[in-house]
Amino acid sequence: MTTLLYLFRRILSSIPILVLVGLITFLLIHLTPGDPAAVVAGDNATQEAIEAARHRLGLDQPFLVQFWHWLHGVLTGDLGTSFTSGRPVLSLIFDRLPITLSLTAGSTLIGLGISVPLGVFAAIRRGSWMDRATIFTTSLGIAAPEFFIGLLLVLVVALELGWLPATGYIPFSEDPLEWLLRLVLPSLTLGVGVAAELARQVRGAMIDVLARDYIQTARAKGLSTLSIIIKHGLKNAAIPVVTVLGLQIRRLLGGAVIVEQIFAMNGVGSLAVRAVFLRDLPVLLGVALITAIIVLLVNLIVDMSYGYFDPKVRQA
Amino acid sequence: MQMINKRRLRMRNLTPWLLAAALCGIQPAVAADPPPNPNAALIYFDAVSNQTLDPQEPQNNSSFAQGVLMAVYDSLVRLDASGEPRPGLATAWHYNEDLTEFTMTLRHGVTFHDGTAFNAAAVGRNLQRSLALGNRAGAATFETTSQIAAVDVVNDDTIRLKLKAPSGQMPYLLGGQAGMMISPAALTNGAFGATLTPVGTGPYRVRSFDSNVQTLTTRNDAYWEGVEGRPAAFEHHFASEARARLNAVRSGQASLALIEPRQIPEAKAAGFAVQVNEKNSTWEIGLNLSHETVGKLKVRQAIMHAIDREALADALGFGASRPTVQYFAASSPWAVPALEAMYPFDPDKARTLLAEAGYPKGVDISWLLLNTAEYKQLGEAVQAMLGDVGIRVKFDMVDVSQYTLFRRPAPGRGDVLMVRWGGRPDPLQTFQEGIGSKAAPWPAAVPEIDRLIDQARGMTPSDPQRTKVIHRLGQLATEQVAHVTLMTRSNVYAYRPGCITNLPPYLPTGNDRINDTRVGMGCK
Repeated sequence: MTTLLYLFRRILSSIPILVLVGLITFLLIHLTPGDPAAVVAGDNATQEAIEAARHRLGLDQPFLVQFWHWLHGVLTGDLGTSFTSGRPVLSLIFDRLPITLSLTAGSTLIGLGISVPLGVFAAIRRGSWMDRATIFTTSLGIAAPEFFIGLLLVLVVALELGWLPATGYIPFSEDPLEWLLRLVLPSLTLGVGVAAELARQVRGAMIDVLARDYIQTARAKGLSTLSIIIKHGLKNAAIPVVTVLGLQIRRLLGGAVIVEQIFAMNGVGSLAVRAVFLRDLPVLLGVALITAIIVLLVNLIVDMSYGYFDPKVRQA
Repeated sequence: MQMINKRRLRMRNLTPWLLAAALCGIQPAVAADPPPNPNAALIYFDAVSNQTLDPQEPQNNSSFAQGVLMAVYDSLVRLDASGEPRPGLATAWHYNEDLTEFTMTLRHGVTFHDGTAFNAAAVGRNLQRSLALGNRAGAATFETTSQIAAVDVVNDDTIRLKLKAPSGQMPYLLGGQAGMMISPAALTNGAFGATLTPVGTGPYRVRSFDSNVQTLTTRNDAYWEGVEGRPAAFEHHFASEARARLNAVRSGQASLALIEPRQIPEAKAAGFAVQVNEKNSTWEIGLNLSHETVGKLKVRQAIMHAIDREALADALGFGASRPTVQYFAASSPWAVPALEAMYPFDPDKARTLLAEAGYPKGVDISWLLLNTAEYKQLGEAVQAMLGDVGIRVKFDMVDVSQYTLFRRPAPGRGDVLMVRWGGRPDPLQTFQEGIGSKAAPWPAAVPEIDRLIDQARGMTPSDPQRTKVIHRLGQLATEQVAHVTLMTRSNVYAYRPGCITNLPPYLPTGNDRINDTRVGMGCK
């Protein structure tokens, strides 16, 4: 019951945040120079055609009226219609969301798959040359920009070695194997940064945990190193790691914009970039809103996970 | 001067590369075409996407958005490679004496992809729809329908358009978006843009469409022109990144890709065929003639002499551009070769002209520049050249949604605007939209331009006098510097040697006729 109440309160407190996200996005787009009506009216349109488009789209109404119409639509489950394609925004986003979510999930898995063993290993061998090598490589991973990693991977793995496809996305429902193959390189591109960041967190948290008294007690009881790390070390070191992971997912959603361009994947990132260029206000607002919801959901899941990793948090 | 010399020096160092690229690019890529494979799929990675597959929707007005549309829809008139009107869905046409009625005889035995018969009633339904759309339709369609007073279905095979005023442009206009025929069955319930089911009579029928992502089609085996050698499927994929497009061909995911000129050396080095199709498409600087500085002919002439077009084409065109001072490609019947010698690169003459115009200490110019890498690169090169003769260019960075700033001039902004002009089916349209007084809220460079535009509009494409008037317009536009052309731009394609055939240059639109392209035997 307490958990449900907590969830309810969190969801309730998210509403003003989402309204604020919408308002700020709305304001930013209106402050940006450019004329959506000119884009909608098309190439070489007459001034009359531009004005007619402005009226049709409601862009000749006061700012607050436009915002209220959008907000009212959102409350009734309607995110509006794209100015340029004429399609419902929700459907446009949901068509692209699987691509971006697949990419984000793939990058997270790769990030976790690399960072946890690397961080644990570095923590156990603290001060050794392997630990120093881990610190060095993770620094490189954090510093390397995604576009550089992506281009390098395409050049070597796809074009030179021909092991994996260089571009595109195939839905899982069409061809699961091809879906997987096409996700490997873009996920790796984004996952390298996540792995580097997380590996450092895991290392730091594990060093801290491994120095605790209960670990010494576990050792004294004769438990194996593996058992100590998994049962007592990792679980107790998880809270800071999960916190950073939550932040990384936000970063992944942002990084997807670049990676989708490099790998010609038309996900939500590409949709947002195009909407910016075309001043497609409803699409931009929709993308901002859905992204904000995803980030809030991830934050909620991260907060809820604290209770699992640390019973004291649950009791509090 | 020093800056230019340094640039020229750098260009000289690059010359062997550029020359090689140019030679490789302009020569036909393969000596002998392999036989076409009718079972293959043509997978094309393009730099341009379609928001919808409605030819009348404004987003499809761009000259560069016609590739997929030409695959799905046929036009009433087909424009040949040089832009001349030829029979399409209409097999013949004629005007009445005073060019106020345009009558078309329609092709027999054609059906839309959904089985609906193509006839005069279908044409009438399409044109009535476009008329009803008014300025909700794209400019090319609106430009056509605004000339039509009534559409009469004479009989099953004949349709007559009554025009509001004499106009000889109809064969050209109906060779573009306005003449693309959609199945009447798809035109129900006010279908428009995204709500239109794309059903035409073209060589390919739409299997699936994902806005701004991809269009997947299959061959229309009942195509009225036959299907010999056509691939079984045509896929159009949008990839905004040029590198991703080339990578798609290199990794075997695409059979053909539109690449950027700067990628020519890389594509050649990787063993790919590179084909350069020159277009009636140019890099243009539009001039706001209502502004004091560029309103003066001598200032405009100074700009013309200050630009080293050859250096621009060499350094930035990679063999895919030619220096020019006019709207049309050298291969176009509308080009006037003699004009090319009119404004040689001559900085001293530019300075003299500037002084004679009343600016001995130079002049400041505000330039609306689109904020893409391609525009910035070219803009900065021209800025340096103009700066060398005392024309101080200040960039006013805008994006594509702000180009109306040029048409609605604000004080101190937008003396000039650079655009990538994609060409038009009718050469007269280029002058109408580029330098005629109806294109902008300022008068034409000289009144004779408007007079000649009106004169040409009253002539049919088959009238030999029309060609002379178009040539005279081109000459006048260059003499009076009604626009500043920098260089031609071409479509550059990369593909595996022998994999692509029948992709000749097509001048009427920004796109080539990818829908007529064949995939060679042995390629996937």
